[in-house]
Amino acid sequence: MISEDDIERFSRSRYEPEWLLNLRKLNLRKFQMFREKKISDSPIERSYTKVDETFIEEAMENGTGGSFREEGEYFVIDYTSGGEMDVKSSSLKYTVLRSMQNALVDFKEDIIKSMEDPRDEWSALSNALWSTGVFLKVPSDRSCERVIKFRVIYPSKPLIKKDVFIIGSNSHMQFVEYSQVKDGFRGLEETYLDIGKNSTLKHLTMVDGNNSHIISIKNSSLGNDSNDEWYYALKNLKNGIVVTNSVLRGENSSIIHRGALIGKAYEHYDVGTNIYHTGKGTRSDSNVRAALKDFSRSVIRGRIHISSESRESNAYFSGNSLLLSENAKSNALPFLEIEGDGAQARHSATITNLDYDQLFYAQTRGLDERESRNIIVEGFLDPVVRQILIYEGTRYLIFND
Amino acid sequence: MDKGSKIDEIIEERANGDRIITRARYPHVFREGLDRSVVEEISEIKGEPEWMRRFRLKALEIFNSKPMPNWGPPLDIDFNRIRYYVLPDEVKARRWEDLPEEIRETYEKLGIPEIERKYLSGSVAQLDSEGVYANIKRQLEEKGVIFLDSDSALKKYPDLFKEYFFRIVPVMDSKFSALNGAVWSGGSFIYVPENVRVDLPLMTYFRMNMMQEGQFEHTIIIAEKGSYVSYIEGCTAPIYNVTSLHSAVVEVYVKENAHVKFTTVQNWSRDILNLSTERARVERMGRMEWVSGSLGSRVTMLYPSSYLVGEGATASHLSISLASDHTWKDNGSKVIHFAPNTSSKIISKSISLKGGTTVFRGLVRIPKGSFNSVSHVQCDALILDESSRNFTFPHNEVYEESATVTHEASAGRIGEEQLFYIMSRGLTEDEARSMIVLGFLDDVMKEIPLEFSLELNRLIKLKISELGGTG
Repeated sequence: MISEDDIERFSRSRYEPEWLLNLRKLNLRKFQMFREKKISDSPIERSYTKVDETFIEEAMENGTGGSFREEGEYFVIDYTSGGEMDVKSSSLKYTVLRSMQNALVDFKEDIIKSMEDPRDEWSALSNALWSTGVFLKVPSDRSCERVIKFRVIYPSKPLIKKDVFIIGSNSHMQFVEYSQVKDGFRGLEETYLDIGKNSTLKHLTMVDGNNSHIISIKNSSLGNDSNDEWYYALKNLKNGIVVTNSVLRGENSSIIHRGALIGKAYEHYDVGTNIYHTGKGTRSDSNVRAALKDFSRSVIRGRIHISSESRESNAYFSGNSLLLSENAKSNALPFLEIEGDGAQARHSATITNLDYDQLFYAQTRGLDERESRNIIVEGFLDPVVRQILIYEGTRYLIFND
Repeated sequence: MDKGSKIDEIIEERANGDRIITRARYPHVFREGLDRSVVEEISEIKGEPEWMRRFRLKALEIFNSKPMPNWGPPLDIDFNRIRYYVLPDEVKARRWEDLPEEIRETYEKLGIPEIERKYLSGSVAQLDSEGVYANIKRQLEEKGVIFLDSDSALKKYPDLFKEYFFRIVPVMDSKFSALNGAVWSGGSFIYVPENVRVDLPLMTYFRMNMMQEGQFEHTIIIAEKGSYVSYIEGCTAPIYNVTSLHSAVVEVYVKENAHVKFTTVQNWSRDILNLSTERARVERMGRMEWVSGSLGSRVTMLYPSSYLVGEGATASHLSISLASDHTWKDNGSKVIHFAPNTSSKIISKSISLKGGTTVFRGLVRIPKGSFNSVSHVQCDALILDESSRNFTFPHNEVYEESATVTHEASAGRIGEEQLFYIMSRGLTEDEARSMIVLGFLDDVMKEIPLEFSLELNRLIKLKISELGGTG
């Protein structure tokens, strides 16, 4: 495994400031701590998903990379080649968009904040070892009017990256992230979102995995009266681990998360939604839906943690799986951790198969079986599919079924 | 206390075939701790066959080799500070009148008037580690029903006992099942022959009287084809301030078309660690019902499980748990659907107050090939004050397309509007509170036999009123 010396060598070779090196070391220690932590929740919680960790060391050797260009309405972030990562697009106005390395000097405070307190082992690992990534900042009182559309191209070699998105107070932002992955990519990516008070963020993530192994972590921290709305869709991931850690620290902050995935072949998805309510009057509503074909498998985790200082909070999580083939498998682990009597939390999970009455009904309307199936699956994934339609105008998940 | 001479005395008297009558309240107080010699002594006193002695020693080895669970509630058990065997002064009483005055008094305090016992179909009242009172109604005997304490069953029906002993719960299942294998003592043994319906519930009361004493009963219930039996286990214990350990094993065998209802109402004192294993094997069209109400104990880790091995088998798990005064209730249910067309229902209601922690840890697994199996899990929690907590950790695993698993859970507090509404009808806050709590528990409460639910109602009301107006 990686040692502190490795980190030091890695950091020195990149001419990084001392504070960053120390933060990386701290995160490595935290990573080891998370690994050794006594399992107090569930004896089998970790047995569902096996991770091939050989990519970690390879990713360190691969080092930096990435170029940045504009293609029509898209900002293309291409990690397959090196190059200039900074963009000065007139359409962005006040919004800052840089590579992580170039943000180290000007936005030191923001980067420290994003690395101080990792919520899980993967966040800690990515903090310790990130080599590239995007830094975006929307200043306070300066909303980003344009919907920013990213197209992120991942290389075939392993990569660990960290993105930081800082939204100041009283502002607003929307972005769409479309990930294209080269065949056989293995990597870890973390996105840190800090939403200032009275701000809103709405974003959409679509990942076309192309047989890759991706661990994708989204950490968000919400200030007073802020709102985070996130829709994500996953497909074609050989082994996809998606973890969301949302900390509702501000009063009256709220989040809406909607996830959809289609599994096929021997794909394995592990989708975790961890929501920590610490502020007063916080609300969360999350829903993950998985449609599983062939031999695919999904593990849907939810964790609602309400701390005792959070009063009048309300949380809801639901995970739904639709098994479309006789060999598909699904596990649901919706956890609740409630401290104190200040809140209401509910969760639900269903694992069902295709309703043949629905199928029959659709067929009596003149659709053939394949079309009827598609329309039912699409209906099942509707909360996310609808958002994709709004932004992209395509039925991204279903169209090539 | 001079232990050695007492044992000798008892063994000698037993050899003479006399009933043991001694003046000492606890003639047999073992030294604290657990090793080979303790296990061998227990086996020797009980006059057990050789295979059982070897089994106990094997179980002890397994116990020593197994680590403590690295999950769940904090367990700080010093296994060397526990007594593993206690024999009450009366070994077996044939009639109620033969029971010592003291024991009869305790039963009366428990709210079981003498008159009421006549309604009980038969009872094996367990006092400390030995079944003291065994009274089987004549008609049950005529039907061929066996209802004994496990020690007597081992002597009277050794083959039957051996066939079912530690079968569905393997001795290497966990550290605590191995512990039970090594030092088990007492418990009930029920055998219901084919097509026999036992209309009255069979009951037993468990009670722990000595400080720091372990109680490791082993209960086996066998329901042959087409039979029905309802078994009720009630546990209470007086309050002591040093940790005691209770680690029972319950094995239930539900054969084809049989129906077993297993009810536990448990009110251990605040010092007791209750780490038991309960499991049922349900065959074709069989039905298993677990009903549990759990109120006391410092830490409870109890996950009744049902293995549905035959087509069309069903299981239902209903539980109420209440954690107060910084206790930890780690309950849950486990259902594994091994066969097609099986169904299960899990309903758990938990209440935490005064710093108590309730945990639901559930597992529903539907492996490939268990066509059309259905499972529903519902766990609701009520948290009555700031310092209390509730955790819910369900695991739903489905490997079969045609299966349906639904799960829902909620956790929260008593709504102000509900409280206000009831108070506006002229009730005090306490009354309103306990009314809401009892309403919350109602689904499960109505499955619990009347005398127990009355007792539970009383206890819950008492706990709620302790909170006062601040809750």
